[in-house]
Amino acid sequence: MPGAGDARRGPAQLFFDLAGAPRHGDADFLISPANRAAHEMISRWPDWPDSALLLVGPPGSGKTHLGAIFARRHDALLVSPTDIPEPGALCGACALLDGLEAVTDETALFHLMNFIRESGGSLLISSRRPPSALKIALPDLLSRLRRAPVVEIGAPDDSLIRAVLEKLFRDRQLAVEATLVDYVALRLERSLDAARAFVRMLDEEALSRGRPVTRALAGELLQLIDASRGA
Amino acid sequence: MSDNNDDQSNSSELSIENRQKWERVRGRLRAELGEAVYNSWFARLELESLKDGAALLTVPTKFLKSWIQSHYADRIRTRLCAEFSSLDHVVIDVRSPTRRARPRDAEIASGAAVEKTSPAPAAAIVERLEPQAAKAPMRAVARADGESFGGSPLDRRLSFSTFLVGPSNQLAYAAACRVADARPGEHPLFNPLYTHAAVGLGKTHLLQAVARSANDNKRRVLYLTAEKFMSGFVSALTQHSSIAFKEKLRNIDVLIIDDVQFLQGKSIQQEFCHTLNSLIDAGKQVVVAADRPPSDLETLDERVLSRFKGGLCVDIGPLDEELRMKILEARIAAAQEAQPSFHVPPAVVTYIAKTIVTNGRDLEGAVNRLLAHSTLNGAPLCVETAENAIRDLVRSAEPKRVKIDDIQKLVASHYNISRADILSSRRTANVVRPRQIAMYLSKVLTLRSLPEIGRRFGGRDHTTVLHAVRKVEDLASKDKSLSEVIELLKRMLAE
Repeated sequence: MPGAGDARRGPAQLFFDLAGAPRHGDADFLISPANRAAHEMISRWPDWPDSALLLVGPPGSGKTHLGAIFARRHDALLVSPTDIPEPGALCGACALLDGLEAVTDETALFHLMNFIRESGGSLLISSRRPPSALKIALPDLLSRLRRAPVVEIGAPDDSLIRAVLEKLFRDRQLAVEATLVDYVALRLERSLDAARAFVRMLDEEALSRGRPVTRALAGELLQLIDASRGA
Repeated sequence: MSDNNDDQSNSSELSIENRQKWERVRGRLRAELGEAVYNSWFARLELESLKDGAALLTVPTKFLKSWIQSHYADRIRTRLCAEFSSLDHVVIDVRSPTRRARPRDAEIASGAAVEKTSPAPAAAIVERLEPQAAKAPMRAVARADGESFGGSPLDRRLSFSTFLVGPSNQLAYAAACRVADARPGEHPLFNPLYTHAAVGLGKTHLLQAVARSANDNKRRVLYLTAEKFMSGFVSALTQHSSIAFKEKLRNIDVLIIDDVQFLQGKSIQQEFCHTLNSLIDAGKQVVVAADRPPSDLETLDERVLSRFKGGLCVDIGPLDEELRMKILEARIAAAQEAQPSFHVPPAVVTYIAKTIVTNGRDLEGAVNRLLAHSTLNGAPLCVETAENAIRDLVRSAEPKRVKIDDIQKLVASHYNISRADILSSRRTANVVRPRQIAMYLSKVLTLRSLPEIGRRFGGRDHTTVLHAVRKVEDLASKDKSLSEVIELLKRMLAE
């Protein structure tokens, strides 16, 4: 077909990323051995050992999702790690700080933790790493963070990776065969971030090439990822 | 909705028509806010009475009251007014178990009305937390009033009776008791009393104990955290209410400020210095705490420092093991009140007292971790599980990321072969099994994909890795000694 080759060499088809925000509903959260303890502890609120609870896990392990579930269930106040409010502006209650590693003003967090404890509230803090491994300069803050119990979200197991891949495909309205999910799960790095990035890439690639999502396309992309990693 | 008798007897005082209206209000709230929010906050909200245009709503805890008032007051009022046309006043209050003891009308008059913010009572300088109901899931919450120079709330658990004394804090404890026990009007013996200690050794506990005890002793106490001092106190001082505030200060007998190392800024320090001088000159007691001795407070004004040095300066040193044991036992007993099934064997208490040597707050952190662990697992604690639960408190670094190289080296040395053997294409039995075990460990302990692992094992195909993983899983499920070797290797790699 004349012209078809030229068209393929031209800029790839533009597309709109309509997948939107990831779904953070209760029913969307997939419980596995890696995150069961964290999920249970969060569901037990307000029956917590301390006024603060630390949720520690690698990027993409579902901390934000669990935090969103917590915040919605209890109407928690969302505290931005880069803009921690004056404690006076709050009412003692439950609050969520997503991303301890991104906190810029340690003194503000120290005062906030004191205030929440004094007023009988609760604070859920998520962090990529345990507080002792973060470079926290303010000893008063570190000491209060260490008092809080930690629930860890571990690296996902294979069955969770499969379930997450399925969910991610579904979120993008992509109907894929179970064999494709198995095929990808075996060959992908065992992290939720990798799964998320891969599904996005696969979807975008299929859209811009005007091809359906197939095992062949997935295999091609996996080889690309593998090659760039091996290099 | 409500199934306890208390609530039923209560609603029976309302007419059937009013009860139906109230159910409609609840239905609307449930529909508007969703099941989860409704169940968290409104499930135990009851309409207690309707009288003279006022609706009295009650909840079982002070915390619920404060939360509903600050977040949902307008919504509730709108919904109620839509159903009850004659309503002009909505009051939310805490249900006491012996509700009948108090006359209802007085309760309405004294309850905090939703519409108006209640003016802060001038006499209440020390804000106290009400004793919490024994089974209440959360501690009572302090009144979040608009008063800019009210004191910081006191935690009822921080009293002299709960302060545990050992050689390291004996002197600070004795000085604090002496200050707290002074009679009203008595000239202060040590002024100011300056306590310093590293974090988590009990400064705040001691200061709050002084505040509580001096207050019980009929002296007027103002207890402030540094943050409260800076945000509220100083703004009142420098803005509109300065004169009113100074008037108020004159009526204080004891001023207590925590964490003075956080006091920053020239104007704040000036005001602080001024306050300090005028109080001390007037014979009022001043108690402060910091995380360092006065000479190390670089940011503080020279005059403030000399004032500090003029009083008594005591420090709290690191806790010895006996004191750590006492603190742990007290913490565990407190946790058991909330969760009677929580049991910590003596061996675990001793292990923690020996391991966590830093400070009291870390000991509290250790008990919190044990509590979380036993809540989630339900299994009895032993030294091994305790070790696991407090791991992050003991180790400063994160658990090590296991590398494929390390796995290959360790497995090779365990089976007395070389790493080159593992990477080679040799297929003799003494090499094949260790190679498969190393592949299995790489799959389980790292996040690497199968193709990546294959490449790191001498460029093998990912199906070879998959075969090895399944083979080892299968063998380990049948062969106890092999599964023990694998557990041992895993533990060694995690070290």
